[in-house]
Amino acid sequence: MHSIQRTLLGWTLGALTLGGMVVALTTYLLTLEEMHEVFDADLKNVAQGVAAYHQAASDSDTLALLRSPVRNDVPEDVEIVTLSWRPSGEKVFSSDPRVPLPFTAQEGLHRAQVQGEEWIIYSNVSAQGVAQAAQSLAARQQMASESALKMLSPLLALVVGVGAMLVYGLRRGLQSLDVAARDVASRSARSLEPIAVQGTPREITPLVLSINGLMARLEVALSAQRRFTADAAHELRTPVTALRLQLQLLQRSETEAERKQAISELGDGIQRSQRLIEQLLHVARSDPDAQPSKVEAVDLSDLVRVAVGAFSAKAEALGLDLGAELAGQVRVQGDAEQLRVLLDNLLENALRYTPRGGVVDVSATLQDGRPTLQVTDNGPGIPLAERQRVFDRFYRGEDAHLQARDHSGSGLGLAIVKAIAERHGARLDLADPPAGQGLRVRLTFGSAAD
Amino acid sequence: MRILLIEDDTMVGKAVRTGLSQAGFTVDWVSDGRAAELALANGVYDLAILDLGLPRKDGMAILVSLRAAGQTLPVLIASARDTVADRIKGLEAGADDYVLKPFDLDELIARVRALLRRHAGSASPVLRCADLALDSSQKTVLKAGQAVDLSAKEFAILEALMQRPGAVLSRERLEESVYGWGAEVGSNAIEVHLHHLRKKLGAETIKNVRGVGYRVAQR
Repeated sequence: MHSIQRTLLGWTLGALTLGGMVVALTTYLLTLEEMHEVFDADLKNVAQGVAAYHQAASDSDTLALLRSPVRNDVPEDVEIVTLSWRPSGEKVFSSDPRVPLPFTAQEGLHRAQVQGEEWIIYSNVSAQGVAQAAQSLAARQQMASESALKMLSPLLALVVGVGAMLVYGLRRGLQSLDVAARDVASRSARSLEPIAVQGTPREITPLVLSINGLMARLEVALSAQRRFTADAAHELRTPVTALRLQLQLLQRSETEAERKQAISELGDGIQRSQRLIEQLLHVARSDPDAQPSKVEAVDLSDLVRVAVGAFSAKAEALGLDLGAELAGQVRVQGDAEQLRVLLDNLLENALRYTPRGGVVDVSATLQDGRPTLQVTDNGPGIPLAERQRVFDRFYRGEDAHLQARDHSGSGLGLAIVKAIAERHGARLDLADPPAGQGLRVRLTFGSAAD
Repeated sequence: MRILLIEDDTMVGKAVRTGLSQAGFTVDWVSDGRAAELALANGVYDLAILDLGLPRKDGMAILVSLRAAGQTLPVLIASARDTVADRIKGLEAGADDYVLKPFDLDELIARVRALLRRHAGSASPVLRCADLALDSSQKTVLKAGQAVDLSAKEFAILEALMQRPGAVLSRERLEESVYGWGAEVGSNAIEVHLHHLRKKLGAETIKNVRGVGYRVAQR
């Protein structure tokens, strides 16, 4: 898993280590350059000193007395080897005869390979001969790298120290996150109070705030769910009461006619309970938070044709004139099954409330380029004052019990219609039909599907 | 006994009406609050069964205004509102009993009978007058200890008379307590039933107060 602490530590310590290496290398190069400058000047001075001595010795004719030392010791780190030559190239003196430095009759600094090592040599040329001072390049480099290495240990200490402090600081800084996590972990599923923002670091506050926002939305959704469950349980009591009473009437029926009547009423009761349960399922499925539905191109005209066909026999039996008004294909993007449920509910309502001899028209048209579904009847209509409330779940109109032809309404039909309309982004409105008497339910979709 | 059933659900209302009628009660059924108020204003009912969630006027409001008007008829609330608070509210507003939906038909009938008895001032289900004993739950009548076979209407008329011993009840009053709305009542139907009653129980049992009505004999 991705860890903030590890990422921060990795980057910080990596940067520190890389920086340390750059510092060490720079130190080495700068030290070497400085050493060249200092030691080159030394070489020149020493060569001049040797030359002065050579001059003095040849003036006093004691040159022949000079003897080179015999060396078996380990040379010092940056030992300067001195040599003295006659003008003819005959070696007069060497401070370390083990180093066979070549004769050069040219004034100044130059480098030479001696026994596979590079040497830096200063030659002082005069009439009496050549005086030389020489030093190994490797020796200088070793000194420079030693001083650079000495820089590395404080750098290493720095990296370790910074790392330790970083770990400690991060732990402290992220502690409030642990506190918040424990706070959330100790909650029950029902407790959706916000997490305390006080004391959380600024960097974490947006996260905590957005979690709190989510919890607030969850709280709203949960309490709506609870309310719905309570309402549904309450609404189920009435049909269950009816079933229980109808069953008892059946049990105590004495004549065949009574028994037949009781069975028929019990059948109606069962059908009505089944219908209520179906409607409750439709409500659950059309809930905005429910699973997203399958969206496809749906032809509203087709939908209307099928629905009007399905309801025509019932309408005829009720003495109603049910008809469709279609204008070619009217396609929308939507869930065909849900739109069918929507239209069924509107038609059931129209058929339930429109008195015998009434007219119910269903149309699918384009109005101002927008797909529009309309169900118009010339029944009793809905009073203006109730037009908002009829969409509430379980709400039944004040006069609905007098106007309905059967009493199997669940109070859920228009709530389902509204929820499905909202899921389709369609506008739903209730209006008086052009003829005046009745109700026109209109569903306007956002735009036509291609 | 005439009962007003106030219930907005058609199926429940129909079943309760059938059940109560089979138990010998006369039942009028209204399905909204305003119709209930109009019916109660008549003052002809012995008891009301009241649902609370009603269209047009809430059951609780009906109960409150009924009691405010000084009407004392027993009221039995039959509701799906199941919290203790709802029940307390209903009883404090003046209801005499509270049954929860879904309820049992037998229990409802037993509670209705108990309320009627208590209202008539007697906890016993048997009404007594002279040598007559009428058991409204068993639907039996004893005359000097001998069982008498009565039709449902004859029984209802006798019950109405025995509920108010000594009081003279008019023919119209008897009609109201025996027949529900819309029942086809012949102009002399009550007289016919009374004639049969007097034949079965003896002419002296039910007195005719000419021009006023009828009453049961006290001795």
